[in-house]
Amino acid sequence: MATARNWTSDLRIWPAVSRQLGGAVDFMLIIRALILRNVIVRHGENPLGILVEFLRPSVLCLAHYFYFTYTRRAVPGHQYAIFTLGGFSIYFAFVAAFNATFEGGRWPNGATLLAGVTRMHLRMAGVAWSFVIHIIFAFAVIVPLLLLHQDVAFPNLPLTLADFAMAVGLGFGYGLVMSSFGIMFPALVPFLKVTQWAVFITSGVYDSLVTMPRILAQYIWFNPLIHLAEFQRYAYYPGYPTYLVSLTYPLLWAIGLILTGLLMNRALCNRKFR
Amino acid sequence: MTKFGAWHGAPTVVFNDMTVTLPTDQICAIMGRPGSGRTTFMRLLNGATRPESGRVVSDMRFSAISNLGAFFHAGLTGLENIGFAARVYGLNPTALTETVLEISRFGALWEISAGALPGPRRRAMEMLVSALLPYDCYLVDNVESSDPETFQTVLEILKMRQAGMIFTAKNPRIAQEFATIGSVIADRTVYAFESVDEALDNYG
Repeated sequence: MATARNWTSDLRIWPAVSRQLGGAVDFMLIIRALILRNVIVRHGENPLGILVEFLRPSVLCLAHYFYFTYTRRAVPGHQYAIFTLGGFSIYFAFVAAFNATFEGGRWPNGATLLAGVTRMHLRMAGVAWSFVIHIIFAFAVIVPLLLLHQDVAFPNLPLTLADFAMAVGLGFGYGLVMSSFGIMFPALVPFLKVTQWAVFITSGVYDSLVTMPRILAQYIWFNPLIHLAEFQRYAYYPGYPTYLVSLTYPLLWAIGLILTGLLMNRALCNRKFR
Repeated sequence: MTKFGAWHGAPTVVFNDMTVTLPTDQICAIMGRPGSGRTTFMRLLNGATRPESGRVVSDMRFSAISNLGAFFHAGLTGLENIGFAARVYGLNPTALTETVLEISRFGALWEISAGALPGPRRRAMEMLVSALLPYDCYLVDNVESSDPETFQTVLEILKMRQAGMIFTAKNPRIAQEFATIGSVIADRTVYAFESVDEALDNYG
């Protein structure tokens, strides 16, 4: 049967790389194909194209920037633009990855009928897209601010990449765990999605650990997103205080959630098929 | 393997502790009465559903099941769907598109959104694209509902590629015309035979 598989070899791209790396290349090809398909479906007809993806976060950031400035919110260094961007960009990346994982495999639109494409690929494609689009947003949003002569700079690249990787990792792991609970207890599905609001309120988008009341800070500290939000603000503004937060804590959360989610998903996959 | 299912809303045992071996490098017809489990069997082969007990053992890559479900995204044109399928398997989308356009007779229909295409036409287009993707064995459900001309083209492509096909049929005459071996589903079991004629003799 090798003949059947090789028949299309003249159509194959990167044949040498594909032979060397096998499964890893196949995985990347599927993710790339799914991302491109989603982009064409969502933005192919839109004159603004993928710029639409930046519209909602931009409007929300702008509204909150004015709100924080107007209410003279207690923000370290009075860096309102940085405070807003650092908190919201991380939360947006997290929630986009969560939604992609929670909903991603539900409407495959035929993709999973192709051999080798699974619901997990659909989820991973959504998560990868969330990562890319929010990293671009974190950098692109600085350009108009510079044009408006705001005192801002492009964020530290390695720290931003690490921050966003952990944010989407948390979203992916949390989405896997919640969707597994959804399979175990279908009646709870509407409530499971609402849990992200609790995460949102305590994610540090509205407050910094440094300025919030100490009694509140000692509880909110446990939300791994607030650590990432504070570090993203630091990535934008090196004078931002980060002595209360750590990158190891959200990293451990991300790894723990992903492993738990994958194990639950594997244990429940037979139930999903029936 | 054993597989439970539902027939007209009532729970039923589709396959009961059965074992069967089918060749994947020939044209194999699976015949059975309505409700006997032909489609369920195809779904088991393809991995779209899993048995309650037992398993499907194969190192072959099975295609999507033609005439069952749509692997074309309704929001994309046929050409865009070809591009997607090509990218999934690491093929050159332009080369695959050119090949499809060369052998098909659907012309401008490839540029219409798949959701706007009539069902039989979309299924024929999907079957054609599927035949060009790098699978080892092609699955076709309910072969009677296939476009005859496209089915002939697909058989020619598979012959050239030395790839196999497993199709389900209600009509024994169609099985006799196209298949090289036959199987029959009866009494919650799949019976494999060495020839189509032998299968037909046992297909009451």
